[in-house]
Amino acid sequence: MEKIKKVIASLTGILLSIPYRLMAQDEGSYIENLGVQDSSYMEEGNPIPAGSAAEQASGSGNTVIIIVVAAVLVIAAVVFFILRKKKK
Amino acid sequence: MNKAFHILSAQNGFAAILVLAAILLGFMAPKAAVNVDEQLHYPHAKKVVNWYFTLGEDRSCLDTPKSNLKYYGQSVDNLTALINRVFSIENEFLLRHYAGAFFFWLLLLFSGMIARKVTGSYQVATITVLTLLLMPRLFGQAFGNLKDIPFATGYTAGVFMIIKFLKEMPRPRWRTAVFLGLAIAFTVSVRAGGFILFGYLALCIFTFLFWKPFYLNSVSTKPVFVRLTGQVTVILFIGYFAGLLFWPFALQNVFSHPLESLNLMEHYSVNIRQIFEGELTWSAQLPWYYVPKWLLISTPEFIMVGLLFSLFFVVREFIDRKYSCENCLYTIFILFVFVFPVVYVIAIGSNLYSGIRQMLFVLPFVGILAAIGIWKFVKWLAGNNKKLFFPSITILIALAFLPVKHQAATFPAGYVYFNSISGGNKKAWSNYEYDYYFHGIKQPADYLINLAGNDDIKVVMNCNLTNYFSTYPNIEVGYSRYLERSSTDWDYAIFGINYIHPHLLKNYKWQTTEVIKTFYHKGNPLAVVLKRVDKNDFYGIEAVEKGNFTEGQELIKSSLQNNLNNVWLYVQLAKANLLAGNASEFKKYLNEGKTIHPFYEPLFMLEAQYYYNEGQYVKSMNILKELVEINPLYPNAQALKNDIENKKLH
Repeated sequence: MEKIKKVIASLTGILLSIPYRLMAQDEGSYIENLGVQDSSYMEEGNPIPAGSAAEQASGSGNTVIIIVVAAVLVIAAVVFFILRKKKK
Repeated sequence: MNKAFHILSAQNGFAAILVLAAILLGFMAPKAAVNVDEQLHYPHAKKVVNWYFTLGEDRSCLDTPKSNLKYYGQSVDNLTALINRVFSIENEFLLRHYAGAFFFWLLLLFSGMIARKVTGSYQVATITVLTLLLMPRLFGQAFGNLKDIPFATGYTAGVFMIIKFLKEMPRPRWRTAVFLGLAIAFTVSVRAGGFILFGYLALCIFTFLFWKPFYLNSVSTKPVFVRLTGQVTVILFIGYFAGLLFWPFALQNVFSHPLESLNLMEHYSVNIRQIFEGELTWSAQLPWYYVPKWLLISTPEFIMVGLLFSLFFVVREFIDRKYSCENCLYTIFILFVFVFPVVYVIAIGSNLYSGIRQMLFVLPFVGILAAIGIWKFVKWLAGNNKKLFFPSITILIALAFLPVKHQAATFPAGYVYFNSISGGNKKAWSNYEYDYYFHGIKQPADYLINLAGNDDIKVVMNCNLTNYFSTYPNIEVGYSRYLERSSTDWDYAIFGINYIHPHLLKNYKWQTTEVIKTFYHKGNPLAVVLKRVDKNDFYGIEAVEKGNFTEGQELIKSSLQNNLNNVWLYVQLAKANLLAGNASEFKKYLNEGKTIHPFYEPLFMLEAQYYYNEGQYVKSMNILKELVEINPLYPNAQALKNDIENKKLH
């Protein structure tokens, strides 16, 4: 009777451990994708410097455009006046 | 009269060679190849233009987590995208190649003007233009490389304006200051590295005052000091801010983002596999002497000789105590702007790849120095040793002919040039990165388009140059790595001989019976066109993936009979047997695979997995160590190592 109990217990243990064994086998498999990368473009570890995310942008689109236009005008004016003065 | 005639002739010679260069560039631009970076930067440039057109609403140009493109100013790319959009130009790459040609021509002009400024001779200016045209690594990228060539143009223009500014000291003209600011702005607008020109300007002003201390009296007078301070402020303002105007990312934070970009460029995080000294390695692991060695092996002999002459005469002038002469100091400055960036990238351990591509901006100064050296040598010969004059000139012309012949014979892949110090192109193939820009794909693409006619075909390539097929709706284009081509569905394939291990290249094991045409470059295979006989390999691999090991293996084996060098099929057979629990067959295919390619990562991974499954963790770990030695970035190797280490702990 003791022996039968032991066999039943062992069998039950094996049956109950099957899902865990299968899971362990899945977890321990590293050969699904065997391809060899040529560049890190598509890999992890492509660090983006802290604080550079686009969402942290400080100016709205319109503000930036205004700054761009203003700066272009200022620089163009400076260049124009300097060159004009030199011609004189 | 004679002297006046002489000067006039030299000046005309300079003008004539520039006109000839312009005609040559205009003739070559439509026939130039598209490079792989164009397919990266141009789509981004379109997004940048759209950012402006939508007044900042379309923010896609700011979202580049993998490619890092937002960190590039790439103003010339953006300019071509803008022109193509405004004028609805259909052949977008043609305009880009004309733009590249224009900036290369400007590079010739500014380099010549520097040579003239430093030596006072138009003869040297003319020789300088010639030397630049004789640099295949520079000239060969004139059309499609809209970041390195325009950056070199800006850098050269900046150095020219700095010299002009110094020559006008202590009262430089305002016009000079403004144009210097604009030159720096343009350089920064291409790449943040242009900020280095500010450093050069500061260094030059201090050196000037140290060199000519008597000017300190003049500079310290109020009118001169105020004028000079004002000019430096204008240079700083224009140079810094005007360069950011067409760079959306920089405009998000004009003070921190450009510097952040500069920091990123110095330690660029993109890692690319490169062949260097016969080894396949990741760019981040390349040795410190990578750039000097590339300069040594890819600079034409004619330029090397000129450079040596130039160094000789600089040293001699120093020994003769002629270093106080103005021109000598400017020659040393030219030497400095060539050497400093090279020393700097070595000192900070920058991640460099693609030969000297990222350092192309120093090459014009190599050319200028070489031109000065040759000019001085010829003058010295004419004055001191007339017997050797003609033989020496003949040798120089013969050396100059080598890169001319190379470029004429290999266009549009003329940039792939190795000098005789490296043993020439023949020896460099399989030892050094060859056609890294995939210029060699143009001809195979044209060939395949003709071959396909109106048939519907699937094509794969190991690069992103889909542009060649964009007007052919019957041709579907995909991507595949060369060795892994059996895993992809295709009828025809075009592969550049890139990213293939030197072991396979040197032992001809990369070749396959599927090749229907090989395109050569100086006798070296540059690209191949493949035609698939059947798709048993593809269906077999698909079956193995679905768990149909018997059916899959049969198909793969039948394909293998025609393709004995296809190491990827051995990988698949070994994998199928490992998954099916057939150890003896697994080992058989593993060993056969290793016979073909002893350094192939998937074979090591499979072996490590096998020992892991068997519970032989030490053996598995040893295999993984070998694998990491070959390729530290191979996916899953580290994960399996961690797994084993965890198992040991428990």
